[in-house]
Amino acid sequence: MTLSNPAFWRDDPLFTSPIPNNISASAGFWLIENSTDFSAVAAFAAVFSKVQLPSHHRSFTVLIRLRDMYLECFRAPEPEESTRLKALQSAAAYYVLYHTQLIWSTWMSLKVEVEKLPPDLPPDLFLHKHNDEWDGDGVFEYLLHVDAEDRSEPAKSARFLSYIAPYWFCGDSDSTIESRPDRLQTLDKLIEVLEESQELTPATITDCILCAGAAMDFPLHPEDLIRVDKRCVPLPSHVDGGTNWG
Amino acid sequence: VCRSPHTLTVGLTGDSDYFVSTFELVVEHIHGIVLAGGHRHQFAKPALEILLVLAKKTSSPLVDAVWINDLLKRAAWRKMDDGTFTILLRFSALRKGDDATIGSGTPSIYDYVHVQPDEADPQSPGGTVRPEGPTPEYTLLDLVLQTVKIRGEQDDGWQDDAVYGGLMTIRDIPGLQFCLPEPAFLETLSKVMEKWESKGGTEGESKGESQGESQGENEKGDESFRVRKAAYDVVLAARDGWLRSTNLRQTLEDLDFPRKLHGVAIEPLRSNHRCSFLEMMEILSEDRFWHSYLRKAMDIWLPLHHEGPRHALRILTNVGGLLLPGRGDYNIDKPLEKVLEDEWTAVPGRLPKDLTVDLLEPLAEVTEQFRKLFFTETDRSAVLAVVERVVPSLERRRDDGYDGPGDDIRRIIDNLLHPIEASPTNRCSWPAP
Repeated sequence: MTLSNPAFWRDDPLFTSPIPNNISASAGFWLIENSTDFSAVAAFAAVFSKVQLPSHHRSFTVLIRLRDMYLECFRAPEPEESTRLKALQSAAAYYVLYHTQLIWSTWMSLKVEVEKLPPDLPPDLFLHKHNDEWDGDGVFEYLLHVDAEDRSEPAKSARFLSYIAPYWFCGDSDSTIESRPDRLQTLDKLIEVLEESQELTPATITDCILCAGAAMDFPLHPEDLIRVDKRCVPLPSHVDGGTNWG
Repeated sequence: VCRSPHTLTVGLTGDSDYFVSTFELVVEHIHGIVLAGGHRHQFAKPALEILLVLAKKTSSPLVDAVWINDLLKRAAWRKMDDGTFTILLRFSALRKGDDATIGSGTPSIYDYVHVQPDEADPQSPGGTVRPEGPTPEYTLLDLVLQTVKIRGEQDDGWQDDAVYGGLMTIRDIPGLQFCLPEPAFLETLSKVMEKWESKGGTEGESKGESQGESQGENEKGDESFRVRKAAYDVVLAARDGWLRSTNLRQTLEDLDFPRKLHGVAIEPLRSNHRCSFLEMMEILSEDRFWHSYLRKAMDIWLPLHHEGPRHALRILTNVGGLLLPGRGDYNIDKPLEKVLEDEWTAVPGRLPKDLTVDLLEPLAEVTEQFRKLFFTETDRSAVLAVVERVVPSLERRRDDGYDGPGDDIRRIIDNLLHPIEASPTNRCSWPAP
């Protein structure tokens, strides 16, 4: 697979800084890789947006487990609210992790690893034709249109929306995309959601700046997206108790 | 942030550095798309508008003055479309720092100046000449001037950040003093300062307005003053060239420009403006063309003498006609006391016919103004002490009768002495005649 988005034409990351010693993500990866219990996956998916992804750590097992959990929750007959939420959390985590591994592996010319990726891309995963619940949107667009009162849950929060937004604006995994700049108009909606949720912080504004750049083919290095800490997303130890994080 | 062509290294305060640098790099990228043309060009404007919205959401100014001026200079040079250029001007309104960062001070040899100092027109000392071809700076100035003029003349145009950003851009053009604008632009600047002044003047005048309305008016007043101040700062940054220009001085006078500057300078809590205003008036006073104007407009500069005594004294000596034509050794830094003393103690050795009405009349006017003003005791003592020293010689000349050009000289000297002697607040003891 070749990355079509010239956003990934930069040879070196824009910024270099010491890689934080973040054991949270590693612990989460270890847990999922070594436990068959769905609750472990659910726990990881619930806190996924709070951890810094280790770009050097690729795990297809984690991807598969997240995907399986999504499908399990999604296919449940008459799913309860908590089940639907788990579906959303696992889909969102899958969405980010899929892109992370796709971009990184492609950029590293790791053809074998790219071929190991699950065949269904995040939009396909989310566009389930037998359920009107998701309104036929991809995960990003679904999160974009979540009602304001429902944003108290981390996986639906405006902050998480901005977390995954740059991947969506890069649009590299979306085979249906015709013109990335066309997506700019969606950015207005994202900003509106962030503002309504009082989540327009330096971190989320930086996400939005990256979105505008990605939509306009601003050259990035995979690390620039994957290293979320560069985008000022606080690590768990810095989470503000007054925010919407659970 | 240490910047190299491909990599930026973030320091310990990496979060904010990353934020600002990401913003700058993305804007530069889109700026490049606009200049390069191509299929993405049509999306550049909405992308920049989104970035502008985001930049406005930040709690502190985000835009570096040097950076945005460089983008604007390249945009003007490469003839960027007006709509996108206007958005960049709105970015310019978000620049960091309130004070001039580039345009003020002496330009370095690396600045692409419009006219070199030694190219001043020999027929018009203090003036400058236009370049034969456009320079990037002049092209930028010209394009920004047009935009400011167009935007500013629209209803509530001052609310458009492009006007304020444009003025700030002009202010920070390196070597601005050497880029003479078309006289018509001075009219725009004058309108900017005058128009907002009148709007601000209506604030709080209506009775019974609600607190909310009053607050809204105050905010509007702050906003309008921001624009007026920017116009003022443009003139301040360019003062050494524009105010000395023989090409512009007639327009400046026709527009009553110093009075417009004064309107901004006397804003409450703007003492630094009052001092800089005196500095600009001093520049004008060095040109005899302005002497008549400044003598008639003492009400705008003389009352501010406390804010810049040295400037006020120099203006006084200049417009007072104490500087004799042809005296090249005149020391502009000499205190007024010394100037007066030298002038009048030198009288015995001077031929009476040299004491003309032109030389004395301005001094009488100045002295009259001094008398009317409220001085501190220290100021009053200093001024009166000076006059005291010259009174004997004046009186001698008056009482002994002298071989002057005519009776009008005697009348002028009488007028000169009378205000001092008749002043009810004169607490100094005067020598007997």
